[in-house]
This record gives sequence, structure tokens and C-alpha cells, in this order.
Amino acid sequence: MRRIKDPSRLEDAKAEAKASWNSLFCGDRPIVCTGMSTCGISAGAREPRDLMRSLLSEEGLEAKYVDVGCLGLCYSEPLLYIKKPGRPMICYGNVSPKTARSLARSILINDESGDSALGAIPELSCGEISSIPSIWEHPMLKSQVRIALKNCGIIDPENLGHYIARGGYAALAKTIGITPEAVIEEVKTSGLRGRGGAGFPTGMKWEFCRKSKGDEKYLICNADEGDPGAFMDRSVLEGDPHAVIEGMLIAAYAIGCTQGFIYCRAEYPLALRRLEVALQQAKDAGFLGENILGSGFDFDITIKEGAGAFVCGEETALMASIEGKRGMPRTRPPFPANAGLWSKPTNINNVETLANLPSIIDKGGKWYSAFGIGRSRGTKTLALAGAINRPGLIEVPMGMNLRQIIFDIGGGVPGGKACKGVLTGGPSGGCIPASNLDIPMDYEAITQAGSIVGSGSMIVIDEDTCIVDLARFFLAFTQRESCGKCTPCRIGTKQMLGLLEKITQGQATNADLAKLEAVAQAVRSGSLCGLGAGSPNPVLTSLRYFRPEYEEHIVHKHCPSMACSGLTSHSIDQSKCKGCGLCVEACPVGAILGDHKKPHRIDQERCIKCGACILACPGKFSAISKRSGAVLEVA
Amino acid sequence: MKLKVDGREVEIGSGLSVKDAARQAGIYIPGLCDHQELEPYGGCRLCLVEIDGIRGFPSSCTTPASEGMVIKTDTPALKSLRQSILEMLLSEHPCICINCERKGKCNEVREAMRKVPQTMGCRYCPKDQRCELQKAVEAIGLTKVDLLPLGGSKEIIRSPFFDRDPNLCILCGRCIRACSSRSQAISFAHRGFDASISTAFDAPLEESGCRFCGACVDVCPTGALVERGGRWAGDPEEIVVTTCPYCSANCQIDLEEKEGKLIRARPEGSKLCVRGRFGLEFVHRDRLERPLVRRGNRLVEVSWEEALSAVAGGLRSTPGEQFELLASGVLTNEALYSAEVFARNTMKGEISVTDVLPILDPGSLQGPILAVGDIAETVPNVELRLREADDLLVISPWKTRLAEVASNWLSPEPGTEVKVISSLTAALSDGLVEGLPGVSAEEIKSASEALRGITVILSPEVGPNVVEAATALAEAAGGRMVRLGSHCNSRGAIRLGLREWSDRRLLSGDLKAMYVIGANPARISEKIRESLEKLSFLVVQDLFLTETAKMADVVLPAASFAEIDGTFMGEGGCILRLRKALRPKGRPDWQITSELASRMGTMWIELTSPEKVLDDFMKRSAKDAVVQEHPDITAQTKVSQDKPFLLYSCPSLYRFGTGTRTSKVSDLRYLEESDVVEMNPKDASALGISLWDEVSVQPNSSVSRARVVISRKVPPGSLRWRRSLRKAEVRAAKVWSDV
Ligand SMILES: Cc1cc2nc3c(=O)[nH]c(=O)nc-3n(C[C@H](O)[C@H](O)[C@H](O)COP(=O)(O)O)c2cc1C
Ligand code: SF4
Ligand code: SF4
Ligand code: FES
Repeated sequence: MRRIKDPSRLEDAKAEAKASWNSLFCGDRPIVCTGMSTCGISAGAREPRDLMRSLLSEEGLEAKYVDVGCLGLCYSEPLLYIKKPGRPMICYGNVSPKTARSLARSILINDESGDSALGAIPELSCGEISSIPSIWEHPMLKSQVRIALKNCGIIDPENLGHYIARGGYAALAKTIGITPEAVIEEVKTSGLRGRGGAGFPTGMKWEFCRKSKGDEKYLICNADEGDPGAFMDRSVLEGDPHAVIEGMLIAAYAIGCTQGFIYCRAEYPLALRRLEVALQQAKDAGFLGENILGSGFDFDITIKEGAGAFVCGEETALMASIEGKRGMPRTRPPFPANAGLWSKPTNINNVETLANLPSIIDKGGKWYSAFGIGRSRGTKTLALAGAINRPGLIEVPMGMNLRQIIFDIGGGVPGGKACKGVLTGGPSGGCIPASNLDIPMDYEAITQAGSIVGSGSMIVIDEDTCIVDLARFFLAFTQRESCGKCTPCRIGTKQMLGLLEKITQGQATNADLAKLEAVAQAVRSGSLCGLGAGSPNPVLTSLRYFRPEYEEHIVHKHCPSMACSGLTSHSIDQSKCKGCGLCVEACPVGAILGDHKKPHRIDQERCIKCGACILACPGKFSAISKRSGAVLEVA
Repeated sequence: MKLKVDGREVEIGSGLSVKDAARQAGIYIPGLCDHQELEPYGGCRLCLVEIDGIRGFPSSCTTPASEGMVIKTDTPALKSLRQSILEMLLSEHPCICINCERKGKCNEVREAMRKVPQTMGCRYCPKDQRCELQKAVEAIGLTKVDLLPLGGSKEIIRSPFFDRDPNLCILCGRCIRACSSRSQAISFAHRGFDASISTAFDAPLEESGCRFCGACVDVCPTGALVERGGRWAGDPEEIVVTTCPYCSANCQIDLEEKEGKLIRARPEGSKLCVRGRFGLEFVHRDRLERPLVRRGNRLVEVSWEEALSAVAGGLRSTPGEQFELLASGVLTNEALYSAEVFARNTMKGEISVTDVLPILDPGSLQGPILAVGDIAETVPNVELRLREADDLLVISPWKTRLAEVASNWLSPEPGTEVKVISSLTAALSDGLVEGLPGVSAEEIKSASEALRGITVILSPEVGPNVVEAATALAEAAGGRMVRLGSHCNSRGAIRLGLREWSDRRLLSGDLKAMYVIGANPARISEKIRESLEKLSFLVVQDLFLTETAKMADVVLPAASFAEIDGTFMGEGGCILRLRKALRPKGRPDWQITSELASRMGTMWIELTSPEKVLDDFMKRSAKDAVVQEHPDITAQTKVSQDKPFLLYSCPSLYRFGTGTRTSKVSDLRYLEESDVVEMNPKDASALGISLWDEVSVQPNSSVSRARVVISRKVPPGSLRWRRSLRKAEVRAAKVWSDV
């Protein structure tokens, strides 16, 4: 793209970009779009795409191929969208090489039969989509409001023209036309709060940094995304990198920063690559560098790769890491706004926070704040995972209740199992029980319920998940990720983990439970940073809602979910067993003994509780069961 | 500003932490990571407080105090929080003694308990009673540890002078912070519960840039870092503040004494180097206690009376012009003065001092600085000050510690430092810029642009032509020159107008008798040794039976610095005290010489007490102070191109002067490496030499053997040899490997 020297030329560039967008999507060639984010690629999107390409070109058909980001329908990935000339763009899910073949055939014969699939994508269709249902009517998408994700899965993230055709960089042009104070005012009006976890009002944070004295100020985009259940930021970076860059430009202008950093974990190679491409494009087009759009505003962005420690997402540790020091948090004050990176005033925002900004500036803070409730305005992206029918990435207006998110959007719990609860906020969050799902997605309400919104990961658990074991799992994570600087986190997490292990192994006493609670409280109050302070949440929240389950483990040595291997046993009902021997073959450790045609037994010493025998036992016999508690088989 | 701590109003200055404010209000807040000499850290979380308007429990050591704050340090919530956190700390700490029901009843068996290879509780720990963790347990009122025991049995890391027991470490990070302004040898490694303190790649400290200053040991709150000397000595009976008896930095030291022994030396408001911190145990090693007189070829113990009359008898017949007294620059003002009176008045002869050069003191270091020579090895304390300088230029052929942190480092070819300095002068005064081997014209030009008002600092080992060139440069730049002294009382010697010793008269056979006080010239060269042998009368007054003393006719045992009251002359002519901490083994030097003087009947003044000597000294020195011409003892050898290596002999931190005292400290001897040459990896691979290979080095007619250490800090084509006894030298040398 040519260098755009002033805002008025941006209009021309947009017209040009729109024209080529139209000629692509309204042309007479078939178009194949593939969801090629990390999630799509690992689901195997490459294979059907390449197969399609070779099948079509064998037949001499020159189709167009566009790689797009993630639409968020992870459960039905790989996704392929296909547009035959004169027809709408149709989205297909779970595309295998086999479906690719039949899709190729349908393109060749221009057949309309498969046209409903998941739905039509109006943004990529030329004009009417007529009788075909829109993809946005899909149950997973219907109640979503997409602002941060508006381009994800729609545009080619490596094509600046696509971004501009969809209105990109107009907000930048608008921004440099008004005063920094006015920009901050607009963001304050929007009610936007930091999406990185803490939920601090963004406009206010900018104002602090703007007012802080310093000849040089820095802006950091926090793309560390260390929460193991989260992938929102990755999807945005992979699907719409220019939105993050434009957001940074708006923030930098408002605060008065001249240098920006994107701190992104090295485990996100695709995001890093797309960011690099986008940064270069933005530089070439005059959106980055000196005298941006002829306004006299200078700003540049450098990428810093992180080594993937969870704690490096914490802002002070992140800054230390950029400075080349060990990623260890420090106490505040001084706050980054006063003394951050290299002791200069610094503003840190999360990827999603930044990706919301272009729309806020474009459509106004009032428009944004129309979504949401109370002090939580706008939308929030969420990563749905766990025991749910439609895992994926969604964006909903703040205030939607959790039940609606899990059941309407996520399609509920699979296998007819009961929903036990939902874990929000990852390792620093807690489990909100199923009985409490009517609370809204709202910072204050979720905190009151004992969890946090956090970065937006939501892990649904069903009745098979043991709450104690789940707490143990998260403590194992935080214990490993603690930076080791402060006593409560370094030793307290180890103590909590040890006590939880004792409970899941049936070796704990009531005194241990009291100890666990005491340590948890001290770690929460005494830790230096959010990692430590948040680490007891999985314990404290589960104790709040599921205390009987803990007591069951301690007093009756019984795991109600049959999940704690130390408390379960497998046994063969002597009256039902026909001695077919299938279980003997299935058992990996040879723990099943018995003569042919005679009832078998399980040697409990050897059994590793893998459950292979239960699967092997023919349904008509169903002789093997898993038990927990006092009812252990007498061998 | 005014604020309230536990209801008490306090008024404090700005820039203080909440913890400081509480301290000023007389309120103690526990804490283990905080240390008054270090940056706040906020890691241990024992100093938590409540502050109105601030959420949660901020750490008082890291929270800045501000106007109107209302602080609570002692609420029930805080108490229980502190107890919980301390209990966590102790759950991974060997603390059987805290839970022990028979507390304090084990004194009789303590000696036996120490034989346990691992510290299991306080009574097993060398830091018992001196441990800050113990004090915290008391202050916080923890009586029982009831969590899962998490302590491991990690291996103890041994190094010269001190050991690190990771099992006792509470990860407060104090040692790292103490080291960060000095050597940055240690840092955190690993995460979470496995976090530990370690060197890069877990290498031994000797290979990690550690200089064994012991700063880490001094700040460690627990028994994790403990010096081996005096390990079990516990608390001292007496602490005596005195002055370090090595280099001209004159650091102040706390000598800790117990049962007549020096158990530890700790810094007193200054940063000690290894010599002052760990290098003083010579006072208990191989000391002479009784005078010796030669009978045939044996030295036999005699009474003082007999020894002194032997000296008087031997010297009475020596004409003044055939006599010389050689004193060391580490002697006190009193000793030097009395020796001078003896030599000049009684003997009508000469007195000179080892390594005294006219010195100029660093004073306050501001503006741009140029450092020449390896100050880190000679006057380490000054080097630490220079490390903080914003604008530091270093000229050195090899990468010295200062070169590593300098804002600009010029690395000329070996032996050409003088040329670089002169080129800088030329660039400044005439705008003439010319490149030199190893330093380009652009480098000279850009360096010369930042020279205005520069302070040129010369390490004591640099040769006279460097001094001359540097003087010219300082003048041209409108700055000043600082010349660091080599010995702790070089200044006193200069004040007295004493000359630097030259071996000329001794070597030419002009001398008949010599009186050597605290110096060991026999170590300098074989030639000197032979000439000493030829003297008809030699008196040596020393702490030890040195190589020189072994040749003496009379040996007089002197008292060490720790056994006398006396003075050195410090920076700017101030008087620094030496204070008696131990019962003397020999006699104070000034006493011996003044007694000899009166015995020989020529004493013109009564020297009866150190105060009186000092009094006289001050009167005399003020009158006669002269700055002397520096004697030319190190004409630099011309480097010829056809010889393969340039051999630097340069000073070593671990060896002071002729190394007589430092060699009595076994770990200093271990670190001294006088038999090690450093070689660039390129040369090593060209010669097929690998680490620790033995090579022959031939700088002149004699061949020496040395082991090779491979280092990128020396440029190709040169070797660094830390064995210089007096001055830095550059010589061409052949090197070959016999294998
Ligand atoms: C242990 C820990 C990990 C964090 N990880 C992240 C992260 O991966 N990404 C992020 O944006 N913020 C993370 N944060 C929050 C940041 O410290 C910071 O609040 C945020 O980047 C500010 O941006 P925002 O105001 O836009 O949310 C983390 C915080 C803690 C305590
Ligand atoms: S809470 Fe944990 S991660 Fe945070 S500073 Fe303390 S040890 Fe490090
Ligand atoms: S060794 Fe001592 S000073 Fe260093 S971290 Fe451990 S306890 Fe602290
Ligand atoms: S003394 Fe303040 S946290 Fe350790």
C-alpha cells in the first residue's frame, strides 16, 4: 500500500480497498476461505484446503483462496467457507478431506444442495443471502455482540486492504483530529475497563499516565495470555492484528507515548508472525513511525517475546522482563503510570482492551456503553471450554447471565450429564456452582460470587469432576508458576497443594482442612502480586460452595465424583461376571485374575484405576463398577 | 511530613518508607528481606501493615510514607497474618529446636550436635543467637510450626571463605542485592518452590565473577551464608573499630574478638574487599613471639634484652652511609616516624619505604572520569565507587572489571597505553587525531570530545611514563589527576618525606647493614636475595619469619595492626585510628625503634606513648612535607615484534605487596593464581593449549612454569600474569607447551 500522508487520503484508500474487496467477493470466481488460526490449523484445516485447491486446479478451475482468522466456532473446526459465483458465502464446519472432496464437486457442478450448512456469511457475500440462514442466526452466534472480534474470521489478517475496507484506521484518523483529552473523555464515557483481568477503568488509567511527568512515555500491549484456559488474545492477534495496532495508536496519542511494545509469548508463533507482517504494513502505509498521517504524531511499536511464564503477564514482572531482568513482580507504588518501564511513565493494556478502541472511537463511547450493565459496560470475549457442547471463542454483552452463556451459546453439558458449575478466571478464579448460574457476567457480581472475570476463560465442569481434585490441579499450576519472590506464594501454594493432595488421597484429617483454610487466607492477604493473592481462590470458593464434598473425602474417604484415584476402586460383581476374560486382555497391568468362565477378581494392589476393564466388560454383563469410599472390595 | 503510627504522631523527612516512619516513632516492625543498606524488596511479607485508605496489607518496607497516613502495625489480623507467613517460612526451614520441648537444655551436648552433617535446628546452626529469623520468631511470637514439613536436604555449596547452605535460605534476596552493586555473581534461578540462589550455570563462585568481599555473608539474615573462619565462635566479646591494614582505601573494620582471638572482621560503614573481610587471620598464623639471634647458621630464641643489645652492638659500628632502613608502607605513622628518627638521627643513615608514590586522593568523584590500570585489583573500594560513575572512560588492553561497566573502553595494543593518553592530549590541545594499534582515530576523536574537566585516576601499579602522560592530559583537559596510593599508610610515609625504596644501593654492594621493618624484599627477586645475603648485618622486624628474616642476624617480633593503638594517614590527611583488639604477640614497631634509639644514646626526643609520637609526627610532617620525584623503577621493556607474546605482570586482589601476609590466609593463597597465565582462546587453540595445561613462560633469561586459563578478557597475542610484586610490567615472552 502507498504511504498515506494525511487523513483525507485515507478515504481514497478506503474506496480503493472496498473496490478490490468487492471485486474479490462479487467476482465470477469461486472463493474458498479457510479458518487458519492456531485452533483451525491444529484441527487440521490445512489438509482439506490444500486438497480442495488441488482438486479444483486439476479440473482447471482457478478459484481464489483466502485464509481468515478464527470465527470462534471451535467445536466445529476446521471451518471452510465457500462461495460459488453469484451465490452467498457459506460456512461449513468439521470439514474433513472427505467433505472437501464433495464440496469441490459441488463447486464444479455449481450445485446448491449443501448451501445451508452452518449458515451464510453476509459480510463475505455479495448482496442478498436470500433464503439461506445467516451464520449469525447460528445458536452459538445469535446472542453474541462482536466488537473486539468483529473482523475475526471475516478478513484476511495479513491483508491491510481488508482491514481498511471494513473501516479500519478511520478511528485513528478521527483520533488525531481531536485533542488527547477528548480521546480520554470518549474512552471514559464508554465505560471500558481493562480486559486483562483487573478490570481497571481504561480512561482513568490513561489519564494518570497522561498527567504523569516525563519526557518519554511508553505503551505496552500485554499479549502474554498466561492463563492456561484462555485464548481470546491469541485469536484477536491472529485474526485481526491491525485492530490491536490501531488501538495502541489511539492509546499512545491520548497518553502521549512515543514508543510502544507488544509483549507476546514465544509460544504464539503465528500471532507473532502476523503481528510482524501487520506492523510492517502499518509502517509502509504511514500509520506507524514518524509524522503519522501528517499529524506530527510519532509512534513506533516493537515486539518483545516472552518466555511464557504466567507471572510475566503481571504488569511489573512484564516490565522487568522487557528490561531484560528476571520476570519478578514488585510492589506498587510506584505505579507504572509514574515509574514503569525503565522508570518512565508507562501504560499497560491488554490485547482485547486495545482491540475495542477503534470501534469506541468510531462509533462513540455512548454507543459502547449502551451494552452491558452497572459498572460493566460493553462486551467481553470469553473462551468456553470444558464439559460443554460447543466450546469456542465468543463475545457477549456484559451482563448476560452465565446460564445463558453456557446453555444457549455453549449448548450445555454433553452426554446428558449434570452441570456442576463453571470456573471463571482460570487459576486465580473459582468455581461458581450450577445453582448460582443466574448471576450476570459482571465484574462485581462474579467477584461477589467468589470468583473473578479474569481474562475471560470459562471452564464448565460436570458431575464427573471432583472439586477437590480440580482445586489441586490449579494449585499445582500456580505453585509451579509462582516466581518465588514472596513467602506466602512460594511456600503457601506448596502447602495448599500438599494439603489438597492429602485430601484427594484420603489421608487428611479435619485439622488439615482447617490448616488449608488458614494458609489460603494468609496467602490471599499476604502475597505480593495477583498471582499469589489469587491462588487460593479455587480452594476458598470451592470450600464456600462445596464444603461437604471436601468433608466426604476426609471423613468417609469417599470421592463423590469418583475422580480421585486414591479413593476409588474397581471391582467385579461376582454374581454378574461370566468370566469371558475380555477385561483381562484390556487391563494394561495384568491386575485381573480368574479362570475362564469363572468370575474374575481385581488385584487392588496392582490396579492403576485406568478404567479400561469397565469399557471392556460387555454391556450385557456390566459386571465391573467403580466405587469410592468405605465400600471397597474385599479381595 | 506528619503521620500517625499506632496512634502516635510522628514527623519525618521525605523519601522514607512506612517502615522507616514506624522506626522513627519507636515502633518495631518485623521483616527479613529488608536491610538498611539495600534497596527495599518486599518479598518476605513479614512487615505488612494496615494503612487507612489502602486496600489489603501493604508491605511497610516498600510503601513510601506520605503526609497524613494513618498506619496500624499491630492489629490482631496483622498478628495472625505474620504468624501464618512466618510459619510457612519455617515449614521449609530446619526448625526442630523451635518445636522442641526441652528448649535450652542441650548446652552440654552442643559440641557433639555440631558434628551432624546437616543443620537440623537452631542449636545445630552456626548462626544460633545471631540469626534474624530466630529474632523474628520471638518478636512475632510463634511457638509451634504445624504445617507440612517441606524442608529438603540440598547439598551445601562450598567456596573459599564461606559456605552456602540452601536448606537455611529463606530467599530474601539480600545477598543478591548486596552483590548487585559489586560483582553480580549471583541471582535467582528457577521458579516457585524450586527457586534458589545460584551463579550462572551453577558454576563455582570462583568462576562467576565473585570477589569474595563477603557482602552477601554480612547481610544474610540466617545461617545460609556463614564464614568458615569463626564459624562456631558465636557472638564476639568485644568489637573494636579499626582501619584495614592493606590498601590505601583505608576501609573501617569491626574486629570481633572472643577469648583473645579475632573471630570475624566486618565492615564498619564501608564496603570491604576480600582482604579486609577475610584476609586478617594472618594475625594468628605463624607469628613470631620471641626475638631471634643468629648463632652460626641458626636463629635461636633470646630475650628482648639480648636481642636489642645485639642490634645496638651490630649497628653501632656501621657508618651511616653504609646503613639503610627499609620500612613498609603498611606501618603506622608512629612506627614510620620513630623509624625515621632512628635511621636519620641515631644512625645518620637513610630510610626508605616500599611502594610509596606521591598520591593524590580521589575525594569526591564527579564529572567524567578516566581510569588507567587495574584498580579493581589494587584499591577495590575505589573501583566500587568508580563503577557508579555515569561517564567513565577506561584505557586498558584487557577487559578489566571497570572496562566491563565503562561507558567507553579504549583497548590499545599492550604497552601502548601511554601513546593513547598522549594522543588524547594531542587531540584536545591541537586537534590532531591519529589512530593507534587497537584504537582507531575515530575512537580517539570521540573520546577526546568528552574529556573536559576530566578526573584521571591512576592505579598504583602504572609506570612513571603513564603518570607523566596522564598529568599532561589532565592539564590539557582542565581537569585533575588522582594517583591512588598502594599501601594503607603510603600517605603517612609521604607526609614524612620518605622516599620510595630503590634496590640500587643494595645491589651495588654499597650497604653494610640493613634494618628491614615489615617488608620482605627477599621475595622480590633472586638478585635482591643474594645481595641481602652478603650484608654484614641484617635486622628484620616482622610478624613472621619471612624469607628476609631467615637471613637476618637479629629478628625482632613486631605487634600486628590488631594488637596496637596507632594511626594511619587517610584521604585528605585525616588521621585514622588503629585500635588494639588483641593481646600483642610482639612489640609495637615504634616502641622497638625508639628503645633502640635511646639505647644507642642518640635520642633527641622522648617517645613514650603513641600519642606523643603522633604529636611529634604531625609537627614534623607538616613542616617537612615534600612531594618527591618518583623514582624510575619500571622502565618499560621495549616490545619487539618478532617475539610471540606480550606478557603483562599485573597486580592481584588476592595478593598484597610481596604477598607475605596474604599468603598466610589459606583461601587467599588458593585464589592468588600466581602460577596462572590468562590466554586468549584464539592463541590457546593455535598452540593446542587447553584449560589448566602447564606451559613454560620465558620473559627474560629465566623460565617459569604456569598453568593456562583461557579468557576472552585478554586480547590475542598477550598473556596476563597476576604475579606482579611491585609494578605493572609489559615484556615480550616466549611461551611453549612441553606436552
Ligand atoms: C499473575 C498475573 C498474570 C497476568 N497475566 C496477564 C495476561 O496474560 N494478559 C493480560 O493482559 N493481563 C495479565 N495480567 C494483568 C496485568 O497485570 C495488567 O493488569 C493488565 O495487563 C492491564 O491491562 P488492562 O487494564 O487493559 O486489563 C496478569 C496479572 C497477574 C497478577
Ligand atoms: S505472589 Fe507469587 S508470583 Fe507474585 S511476587 Fe509473590 S511469589 Fe512472585
Ligand atoms: S542466602 Fe541468605 S541472604 Fe541470600 S537469599 Fe538466602 S537467606 Fe537471603
Ligand atoms: S521486610 Fe518488608 S517484605 Fe520483607
